[in-house]
Amino acid sequence: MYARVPGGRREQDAEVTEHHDRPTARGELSGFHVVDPDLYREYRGRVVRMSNSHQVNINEFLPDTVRQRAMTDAEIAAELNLDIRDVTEIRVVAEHDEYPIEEYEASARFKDAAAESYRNGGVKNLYKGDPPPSRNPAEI
Amino acid sequence: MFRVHAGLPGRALPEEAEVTEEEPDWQTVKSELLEGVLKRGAMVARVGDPDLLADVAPGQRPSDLLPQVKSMIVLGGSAPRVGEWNSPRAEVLETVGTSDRMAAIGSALARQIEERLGYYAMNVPTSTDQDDKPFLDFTAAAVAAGAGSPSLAGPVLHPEHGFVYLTVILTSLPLPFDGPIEQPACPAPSCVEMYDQRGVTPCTDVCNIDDGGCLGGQIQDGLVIGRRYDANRCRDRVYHYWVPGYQAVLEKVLSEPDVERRKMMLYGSYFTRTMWSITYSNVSQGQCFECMRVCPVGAENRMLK
Amino acid sequence: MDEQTADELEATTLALKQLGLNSGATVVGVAAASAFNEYVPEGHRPSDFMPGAKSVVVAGSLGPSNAAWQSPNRRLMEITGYDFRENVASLVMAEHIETVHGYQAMQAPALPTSGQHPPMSMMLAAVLAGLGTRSIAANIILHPTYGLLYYAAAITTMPLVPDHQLEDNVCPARSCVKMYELEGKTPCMAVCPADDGGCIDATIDDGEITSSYFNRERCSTRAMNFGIRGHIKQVELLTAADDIDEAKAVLYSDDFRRNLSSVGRYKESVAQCFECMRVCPVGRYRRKLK
Repeated sequence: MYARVPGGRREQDAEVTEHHDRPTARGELSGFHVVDPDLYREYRGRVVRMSNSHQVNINEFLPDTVRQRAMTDAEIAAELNLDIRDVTEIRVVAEHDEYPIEEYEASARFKDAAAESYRNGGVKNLYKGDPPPSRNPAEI
Repeated sequence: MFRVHAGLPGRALPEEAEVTEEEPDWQTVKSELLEGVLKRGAMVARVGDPDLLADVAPGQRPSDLLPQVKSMIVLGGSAPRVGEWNSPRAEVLETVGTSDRMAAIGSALARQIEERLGYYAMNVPTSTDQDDKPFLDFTAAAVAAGAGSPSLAGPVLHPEHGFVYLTVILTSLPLPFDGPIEQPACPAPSCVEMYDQRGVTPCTDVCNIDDGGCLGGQIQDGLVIGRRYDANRCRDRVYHYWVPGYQAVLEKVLSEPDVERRKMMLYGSYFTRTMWSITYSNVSQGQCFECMRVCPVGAENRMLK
Repeated sequence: MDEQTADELEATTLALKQLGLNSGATVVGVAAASAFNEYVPEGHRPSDFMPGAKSVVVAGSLGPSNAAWQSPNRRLMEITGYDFRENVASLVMAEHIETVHGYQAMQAPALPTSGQHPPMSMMLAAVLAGLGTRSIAANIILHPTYGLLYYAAAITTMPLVPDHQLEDNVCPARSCVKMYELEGKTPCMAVCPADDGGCIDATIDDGEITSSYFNRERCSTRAMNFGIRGHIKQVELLTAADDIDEAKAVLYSDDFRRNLSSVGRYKESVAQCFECMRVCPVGRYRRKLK
C-alpha cells in the first residue's frame, strides 16, 4: 500500500540528480517557500507514500530484504523531478493535512476510553474472546 | 561564609546569624560568591560599578531596576560546545542553545545573596521588555565589569573565551569592582591584518551590510570606527524561526485571499519550524552565529580533536 | 591525547557512562558513529553533523512518574511532564569530553527542523547503543527493563568502546505473543488498531515481528493532542472566519487556550498519549509501587 524505496533501500551511491536551476544553498532551502496548491494536490499522495508519515517495516530486526526506510526529500525530488523545496512543502503540508481538526477531538475521546478501559479491567478488556488464565495477576 | 546584617527591611534575623559590628571583608565575600558560580559552570565572573551605566538609555540603567543597587555581578559562560561551532550544519546551533543555564546560575546566585547574606539581589531577565528593548544594557554592564569588550559584530567578547552568554545580577551588596578591561578583545590582531589587506574583517566579510548582511565598519589605528549594523536584519536571522517569523507568516496569511494558498503557508515548513522554535524557546534563543563562528577571539579554545 | 590501551579505553568509556548516570540518566550506552550508515541516508548520520565523528553517547531517562501512570485522570499524565534529564546528561557528557579529554563533542540535534523530521534520530541512536529495540507500539524503543524511555545523545570525535544492538528483540513480549495467537493482535495493536481508526499494526510469526505498520500522522493527533499542530489548525480557522463572532468562538475556546498553553509550557506537554505503552507489559511491573 505504501510504496517505498524499491528493494528495501536506495543504493548507497545512488546519485541524486542536481539541476543548476534548483536551489541547493541552505538559505534557499530553509526560507519561506509556498508551494503552489495545484502542485500540492497533484503530488501529495505520491510524496506521502514515499515519506515517513506511514512507517512500514522499519524494525531493525527485520531482514534486509524486508526492512525499508522512507525517502529523503532530495530522493523524492529526484524521483519525481521536482524542486526539493516543493517536495519539502508538500510533505510538511501533507503531515498537517492528513487529518482535520476534528480528529484531535476524536483522539481525546479515544484516550478517555482507552484509559478508562485499562483502569477497569487492564489488558483483559482488550480480548474479544476469553483472556488466557494467568498465574501472575500482575501480568494482566 | 560571612553572615552580615540583614539588608532587607523587616526581615527577621536567622537564629544562627552572626551579627557583627565590624565592616565585612567585602573582597572575601566577593571571592566566595564568584568562586561558587565558577564552580557551578560560569566561565566569567566579574563585578562592575553600576554608576558607569548612568548615561545609558533611561529605563535600562541598573538603578531603574533596583534603586538600592551597589554592584553588578556579571557572569558569562555556557557558549556552544566546540563540536557545535564546527558543525557544517546550521540546524545544530539553531537548536542546542544553553543560554538559560546562565540565567539559572544567576538566579541561584541572587537567591544565595538574599537568603544567606540578607542583601537585595535580582537576576535581570534576559528576555526583552516592551518595545523589544532589553531590561538592562547588558553590553554596557559587561564592559563596566570587565567581562569583555564590545565587538564590531555586536556580542560582547571575552578576551580569552570569546563569545559567551551573559547574565547580570544587580545587588545592594557593596562588592569591590573589577572595572573594565584595558585591552579590548576586538579587533583581534588577525582581523586588523585582514582589514589592512582586504578592507573587511571575518565578521564583516561573512555578513556584509553592503551585500545583504548586517555588519560593516572600519578599523583605524587598531580601533573599530564607523560601525554599521542592520539590527532588523540581524534580528530576523537570530530569530530566524521564532516570534518575528510567526508574525511575518501571519501577515502574509492575513493578506492572502486564496484559502488554499493560506493553507500552504500555515501548514508549510517555515511556519511549522517557527512554532517548534517558540515551543522550545530555551534552546532557540540564537539561530545565527555566523559572525561569531568566524571570529578569532577565543577560537584557539575550539581546536579540539 | 595519547592513544589509549584497550583497557584504558574501556575504563574511560565506563567513567563517561557513570558521569551520565550521575547526571540523571537512567541508562547510558555508546553507539559507533559508523553504525548509523546502514540505516539512515546521508544528511542524517552523525558524520553529517560532526565530520570525523567516532561515537554517539546515548542517554535515556524515564518519563512520567509511576504515580502518573496510576492516575485515573489520563490528562494529568499527559502534562506531568518530565525533567529532561537525558538532555542534561548528554550535555554534561559532551562538555566533559571537550574539557577533560580534548575531543570535540556536541549535543545531537534532535528537535524537528523540517515538519516532523528531526535532523538525527534518537530512537535509532538508542537501538544502536544497545539501549533497546524497536517495538510494534508506534515504533517506540523499549528498554528490556524499563520499557519506554526518552533519549538524547552527544556526538563526539572521541573513540569510545561501543555497545552493540541487543541480540534479542524486546518486542513482542511472551504475553503479547500469546495474545496474538488467540486474538491476532498484541495489546498495543488491540488498543490502537490501524484497521479501526488507530495507528498500529503488525504480524508476528514464531514469536518474531515479520512486518509492522505505524501511522505517524494519526499518532501525532494523539501524542500532540494540544500544541503546535492544533494551534496551526485553529489559526487556519481564524483566518477563514467570516465574522468576528465566528473568530471569537475559536479564539476564546478552551481548546485554543490549551493549545497555546501547551506551546508555552512545552516541558509539561511533551507527550500526550500513552495508551499503547499503558498496555505494554515491558517495564510495566516496575510501575507498581506501594
